[in-house]
Amino acid sequence: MDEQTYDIVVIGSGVGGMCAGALLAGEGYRVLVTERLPRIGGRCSTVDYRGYKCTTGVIGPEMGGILQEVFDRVSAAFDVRPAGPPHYLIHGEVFAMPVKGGLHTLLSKASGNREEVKNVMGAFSKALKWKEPSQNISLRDWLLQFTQDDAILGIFQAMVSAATLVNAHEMSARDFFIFLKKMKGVSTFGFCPGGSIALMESLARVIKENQGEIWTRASALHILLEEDTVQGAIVKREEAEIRVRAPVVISNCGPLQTAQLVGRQHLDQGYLTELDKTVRPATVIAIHLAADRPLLKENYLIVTGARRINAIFQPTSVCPDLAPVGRHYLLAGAAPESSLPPLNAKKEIDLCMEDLRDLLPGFDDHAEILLTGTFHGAWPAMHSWPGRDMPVKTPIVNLYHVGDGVKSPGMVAAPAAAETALRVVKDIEEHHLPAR
Amino acid sequence: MIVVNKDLCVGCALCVPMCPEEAISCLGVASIGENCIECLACLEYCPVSALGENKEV
Repeated sequence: MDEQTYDIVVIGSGVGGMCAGALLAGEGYRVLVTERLPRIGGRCSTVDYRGYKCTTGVIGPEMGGILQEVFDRVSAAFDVRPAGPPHYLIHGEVFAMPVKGGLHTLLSKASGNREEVKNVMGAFSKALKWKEPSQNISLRDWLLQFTQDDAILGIFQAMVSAATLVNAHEMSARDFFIFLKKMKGVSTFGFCPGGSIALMESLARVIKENQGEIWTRASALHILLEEDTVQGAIVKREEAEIRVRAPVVISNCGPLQTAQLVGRQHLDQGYLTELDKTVRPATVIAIHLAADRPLLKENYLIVTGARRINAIFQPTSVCPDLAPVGRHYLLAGAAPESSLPPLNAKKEIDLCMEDLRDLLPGFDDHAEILLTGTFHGAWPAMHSWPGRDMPVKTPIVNLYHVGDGVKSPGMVAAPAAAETALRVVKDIEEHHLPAR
Repeated sequence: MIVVNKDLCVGCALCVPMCPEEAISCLGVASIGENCIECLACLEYCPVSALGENKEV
């Protein structure tokens, strides 16, 4: 078997893997990133379909936050155009979310029940200023103590499911408030003119410029161990198996799949129990639309009170090159009734379609469905729900996780994955020097 | 012919654009249409390895 040696092997080229790879390559480590698919980026990538640049997951990366911090640190281009302020669809009317007093305004638009709006705002203020609620109550159950109003509850369901990819009855009240506190000051996101893959290609350039390599169509088959210390990985590339030796391995393929690559028999029972009890893959439905005219006046809408759809993005309002000339690309996101398996895909997709007809005037005449994607199970929206994360360190010495299965509290999606890379890289820098 | 392992397929639809014949449809689970020319382009793009070649058929 062919043998190669690197300082670092990264398994998977998603946001966490590429951020870690670029940061380490920039620090002088010799990095190999292996990617099973022919294209890099995982769920932060782009696929061309009928002239539309469809996202494989990430639609609006955060700007000015931790994701951009990684790009700045490695001097990688971060071409993201601001998506503009959020608008909410409430009872069929569009409202811009004011910068100050936004929540109160939204709740007041949703419900004429002033007493309950006041109750919720009071509880919010206390939770933000004094102490967040318990981990042991869902956000929905926590809210039900202050309001029974479906329109108020609907605002939170839309906000939570669109932003954190789980339902209000699945998000713990505590994690929601930690999320809100972390969001403060970083509430802008944008669209990528070249599609999400452009961001990952930008990090790929950093890796390659620093003598690193990225292998696509390269499957990691096993993570190699000696005793309880990682030694590298066996990678299948172009039908050949290669023994890649490295003192440090970073897995970006999720805690569950990483355990398979290690072999569960090599992991202690406590860790496996924690893994099985903690990890809950997040479920999302993404409907990609092509349109011959703009279907939204706004660049994106948070949708409240619909059956399933919680947000609709029209990135071509900002980045027209994502669609053929004169056409528009839209992405509608939805949270199914439950993020837990099994997913009743047919029922959930039917409800999404009913929503789209209600929400988008001219849908039948001016839009066509490009793709309808359900993300769950082994290819989820996030490897685990917010607040249900594994640690970045595994029981195997020098085997780390990055990505959205090992998030910090209060973080979700791409920025969360970038943050895991920063944590892992800091630990590696403290314990391992580059070989050269 | 190309077969979909329905236990593995999550319905992400990321195989659909890879087909030059537009032979794949996907609503919750991928399905290969009769105009499939068995070019195998879809196989390597499946993130959960749910697509395979059934050589016996």
